[in-house]
Amino acid sequence: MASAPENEKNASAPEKKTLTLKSMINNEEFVVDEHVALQSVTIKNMVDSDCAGDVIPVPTISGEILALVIEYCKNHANPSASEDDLKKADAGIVAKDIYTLIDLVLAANFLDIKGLLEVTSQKIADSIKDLPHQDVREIFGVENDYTPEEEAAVRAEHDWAFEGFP
Amino acid sequence: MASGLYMTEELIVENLVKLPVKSLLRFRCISKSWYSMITYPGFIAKHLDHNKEEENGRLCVFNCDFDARRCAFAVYPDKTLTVPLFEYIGGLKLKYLAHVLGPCNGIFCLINPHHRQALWNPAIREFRNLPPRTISDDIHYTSKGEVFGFGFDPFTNDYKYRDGVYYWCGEDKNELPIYLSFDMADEVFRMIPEKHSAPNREASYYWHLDEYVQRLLKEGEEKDDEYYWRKEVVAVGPFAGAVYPLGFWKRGELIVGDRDNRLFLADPNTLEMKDLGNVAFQAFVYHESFVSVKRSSNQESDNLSDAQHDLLTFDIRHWKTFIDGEWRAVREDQSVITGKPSMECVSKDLRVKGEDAKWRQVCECRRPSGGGVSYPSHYQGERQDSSSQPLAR
Repeated sequence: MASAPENEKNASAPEKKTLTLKSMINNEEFVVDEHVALQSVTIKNMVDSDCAGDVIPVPTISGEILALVIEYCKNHANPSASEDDLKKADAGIVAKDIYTLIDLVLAANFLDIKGLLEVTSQKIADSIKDLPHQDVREIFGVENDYTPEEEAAVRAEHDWAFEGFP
Repeated sequence: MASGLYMTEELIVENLVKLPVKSLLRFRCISKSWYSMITYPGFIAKHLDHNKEEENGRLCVFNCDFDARRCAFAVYPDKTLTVPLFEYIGGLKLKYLAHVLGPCNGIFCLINPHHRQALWNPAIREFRNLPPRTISDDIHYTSKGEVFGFGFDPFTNDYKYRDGVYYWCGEDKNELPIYLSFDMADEVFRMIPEKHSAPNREASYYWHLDEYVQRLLKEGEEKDDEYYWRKEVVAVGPFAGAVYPLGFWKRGELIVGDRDNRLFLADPNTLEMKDLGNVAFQAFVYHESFVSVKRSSNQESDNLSDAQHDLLTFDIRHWKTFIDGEWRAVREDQSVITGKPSMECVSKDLRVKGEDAKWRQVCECRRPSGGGVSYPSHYQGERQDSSSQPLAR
């Protein structure tokens, strides 16, 4: 019994392993604890299959976005954080403009971080739900392939939903 | 997108399922591919699953203004229930309704006093009259028998919510359970002879299947304007002044009404009653959905105004009013009947066990429509008493 704490100490305090994530968009580097980075299933798979070198290049994510992702992972790797704390922290991370949110959701998807994907897409939904469909079309870069007549016909199916919208 | 990544359809869908139905109806105008994404049955099912999560339910109330002879459905603007403003939904201009059942998958069943039924999805404003039942002899809406359960079982294919069967359950004159089904494909009402033949998947609203029974009963006695309720063997209350249990809210709270039909949120732990600032006849936890009530064989649905006319025009004499905590109804033969309200709730989702879970379910509620309060005989005269558990069997 007396030796238990000592064992625990030995087991839980190996030297901390870190990984370096490097944004290939602007070559920014982030040194993070491995257990923080491993919340990304993509990175975990790389580490598990020994594909990860000292520096893990992240090809399509800017440093700005990567910083947000790492902030999220750090928060969620902290075992003493309460659910309320996490909720507040998440809300802070996604308090961004819609274009940043889209980049963030793409990053969360690429890195396969389920929680971040969830909270970001919820925020995107909240941000666009009251926008005119023309604005949403622009935000998502969708080409309008309706003829004006076709669009009017779709609109007419539920005209009441457009009350107060252009 | 500066990053060089792009939104795959899958990722867009991930965002779209979190949108309210009304936004989605507008966003179908964005492009043809968005239209197909949003109307794809798989998407509708996914959207429904997302909305069904407890967190996403909103409080929907059914209000009637007797003087104006008008009824309407409305939802609270957010889940905090602190803003007593309503957003009216569904676009129905109702006169009077006998019963509102559901909602199930965002669909309500409306029944008029002539036993005509209609399915209604307020979020997409679809309304569908069901054909008259031809097997009405054995199921009664009057006296003790009443239809009060409403559920839906999609056939094997989860995505085809259209091709499924709606279920009602109730009691006959002798208080024996009766199940009625309506097949969306062949549009035929059927009696289901035995309770065991009722499918128990999505069996949310079968008050009678033992495993799923959760009852909230008002105890037979009124004391100092306080009522005692009990759900299964659990006694809840007393809540001062509360007369009508209307349903369950999140985290086990109850929605109750006082004798003036004012709405309160009642906490079973602290016994606190929070005034919700509104008057309502019925209250539901509502999860909006895109699920269509149209016929599966063709795209035609009932024209809303014609359909309303068909279902909802009926003799005002049938409607019951609530006066001083009693209801009053005038029957066809002009006789007046009165009674005190009782309520039973059945609930679904017993996945979570334990004390907390008991109050988390979505409920179906009813008020008796005639013949007086009918407690099952073994409840009569019972006081709440944690030492005796008569419902345990």
